[in-house]
Amino acid sequence: MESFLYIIKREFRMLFYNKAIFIFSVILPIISILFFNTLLSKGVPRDLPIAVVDLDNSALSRNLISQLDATPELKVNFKPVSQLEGENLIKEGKVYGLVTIPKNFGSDLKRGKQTKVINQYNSNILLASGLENKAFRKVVGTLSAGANIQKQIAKGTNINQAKANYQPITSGNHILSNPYTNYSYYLNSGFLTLFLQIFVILTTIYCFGADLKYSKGEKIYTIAKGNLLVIILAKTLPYTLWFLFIGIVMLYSMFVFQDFPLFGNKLIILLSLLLLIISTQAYSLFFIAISKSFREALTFGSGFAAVSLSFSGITFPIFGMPKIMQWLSQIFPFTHFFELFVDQTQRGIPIYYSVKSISLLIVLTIVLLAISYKKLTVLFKQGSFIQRT
Amino acid sequence: MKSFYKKYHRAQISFWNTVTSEWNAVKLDKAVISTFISVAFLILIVYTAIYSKEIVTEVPVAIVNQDASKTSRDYISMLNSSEGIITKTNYADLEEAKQDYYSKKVMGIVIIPKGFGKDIRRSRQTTVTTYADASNMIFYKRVLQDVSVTTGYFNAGIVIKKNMAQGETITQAQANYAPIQPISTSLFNTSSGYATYITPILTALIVQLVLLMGIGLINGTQQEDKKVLKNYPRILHKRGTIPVLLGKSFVYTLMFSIILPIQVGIVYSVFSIPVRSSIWIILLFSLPYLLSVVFFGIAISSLFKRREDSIVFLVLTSIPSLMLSGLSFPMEAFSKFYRNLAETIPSTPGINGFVKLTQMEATFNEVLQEWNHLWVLTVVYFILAAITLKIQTIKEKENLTKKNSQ
Repeated sequence: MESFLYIIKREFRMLFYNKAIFIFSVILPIISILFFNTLLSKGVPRDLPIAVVDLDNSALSRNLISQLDATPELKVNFKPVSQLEGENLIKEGKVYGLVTIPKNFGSDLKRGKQTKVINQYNSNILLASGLENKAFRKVVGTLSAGANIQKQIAKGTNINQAKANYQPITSGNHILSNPYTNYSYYLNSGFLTLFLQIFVILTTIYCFGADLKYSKGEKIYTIAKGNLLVIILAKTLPYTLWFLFIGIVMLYSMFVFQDFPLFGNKLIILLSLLLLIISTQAYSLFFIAISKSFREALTFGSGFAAVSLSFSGITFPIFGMPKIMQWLSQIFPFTHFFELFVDQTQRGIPIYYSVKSISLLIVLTIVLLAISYKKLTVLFKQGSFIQRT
Repeated sequence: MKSFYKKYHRAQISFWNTVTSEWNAVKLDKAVISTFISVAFLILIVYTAIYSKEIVTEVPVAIVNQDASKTSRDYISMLNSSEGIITKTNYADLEEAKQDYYSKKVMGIVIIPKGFGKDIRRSRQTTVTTYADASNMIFYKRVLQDVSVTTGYFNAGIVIKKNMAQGETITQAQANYAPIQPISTSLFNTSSGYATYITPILTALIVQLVLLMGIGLINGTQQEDKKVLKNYPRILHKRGTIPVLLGKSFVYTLMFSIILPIQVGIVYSVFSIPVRSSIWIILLFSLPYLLSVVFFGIAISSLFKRREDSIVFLVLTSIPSLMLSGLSFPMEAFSKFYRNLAETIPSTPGINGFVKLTQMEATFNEVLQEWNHLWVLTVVYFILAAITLKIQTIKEKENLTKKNSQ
């Protein structure tokens, strides 16, 4: 117990002596919370610039342009005279799409002849072009439906019957989990928690690595009277608590400050946070145990943290990946944490269905600690990494 | 004139000295080489492999069919044959479907109401209800898009058939149904594939990551060992930093001019990602990108005390630079502050230009804006790097003289 407290005290002195640890555990977490919350404060993109080539220049085509401009998603920023000019605007990245209204658009429409409107969109920019095309189809669809219904009314059909004739089946769409389809709710849930994980990894590797790089491992080993468990607990527990606090600040910024949807169990959310921190610490110890140098441990840790976002399925669903990648995704604690976190914040599903992710996180932690234990003991007896660089 | 030549000659010697010592530092430092190789190739390959199936297909959706008519079964089979979703129909009621939604066996629920077929026959409007989970936007878009597109086609089919029964020809019926036909043409990445989208972005981003890490490692080591002055003895002379900086950037630019074609050549052909530009144009465009990143790296690496500190670049800067590039989330949604911040990071014009060249068939003229932007950044960071390098050396010299006098 005495040595336990001694190492904790030493750890606190190191926090203020070693600038890097202070930056990773105190300053950067706060900056990252501020950064992501303010970066995506407008969670739904609005006024995406498009260009319209109006080859018709009639009252009806001008009406279509103003309808496009009036949708919240789009803004008609350019009116090039030719399609070629419009396509160059796309290539220069000034617009996400180019809408072409053909010649005789207005007269065809009046005569009851079918006419076309073309939208060319830059699908190299997936999110923006998807929104652009969706908004375009909605505007043209509504205009087309209006023309159809008006034609029927002219023939003497009443408006409700005309609607039913045009659209026998209507869709009632209900959005679950994220009622405003806000990208901030979706992306920031991933980014903020990922960055918390990054800081846990960096801090843990730094506070072990800094000792082992400068051959102080043996000194600590003697203080702890050869008890590795004391060393691990004394060096990680203060940070577990500290990052739990940072995590709560992060949750506060998400659910109180930003109004992210919260339909699940608050206690389980806290538990998920704790499990993320502990499992990440276990992984960090594992990286230290298998590395030849401090630098190598950091490379492993950073690389691991960097790819874990993509493996979690937030950017591309796990079941859509190649089989090997699907298996690999399971060894990342962030995958299970993120599933648990989304289930208990946005999806709000019964706790029973979250037991799987909770237990997997616990199993991963125990397995990782068990593998690293022996190697860590050797490392601390040696007092330093095999290589200095 | 003579003195000018003398200065030029000295600068030349200093330049080649820098090139040799920097190259030796890179060559002898296993960490730098392994960083270059592991990040430039391994990470690019892992990421591309994750997205290699390009699009999400077969998102499972639960169908609660309360109607059991032929029309409803037709509708379901049409849903099932759409590109993105597969239907699961063995649900008696909403509760059962919910269980599978909770355990993530399905990502959405579609309810076909009682009297669906009958209502359609009698020209009464009926409503199909869809529940789509927006906690993951990819699933959400797929489910909603496929259901609404299918419903649209199904509607058109019903109406056109009915009008044809009244004696219209099929073209007439079609024209009457949709007076304006929207035609969407997807440019460049025609199937909206994820690997095609993300790999060029990552290739350009990785240039910045690897260089920042590599430069940080080498500068960190020199700082740890207090060898800056020893390696570059002429640095404290007037304008002495210029040849040193040029020498350093020469080494890294040359290294990346070799790495970049290999990346594009191997990864892009293995995962069949299109390259719509010649490698010479890509290299020409990359020149100011590489230079600006190198100077940016030298300018900030003087903040590091230890060589390990630079490795954290990999994790800390990748997502923010990616977001600020404006290619994953539209730049229009960012505040003025972040848009200005984005302008100062080399990866913003770097990624945009690289994507335009390799994916959007842009000519060099069409990336001139980015190219010029990168040259401006090169000049700015060159000046910053010169200042920080000088300060760093002066400090080192002071420390040395202090030590010597003790």
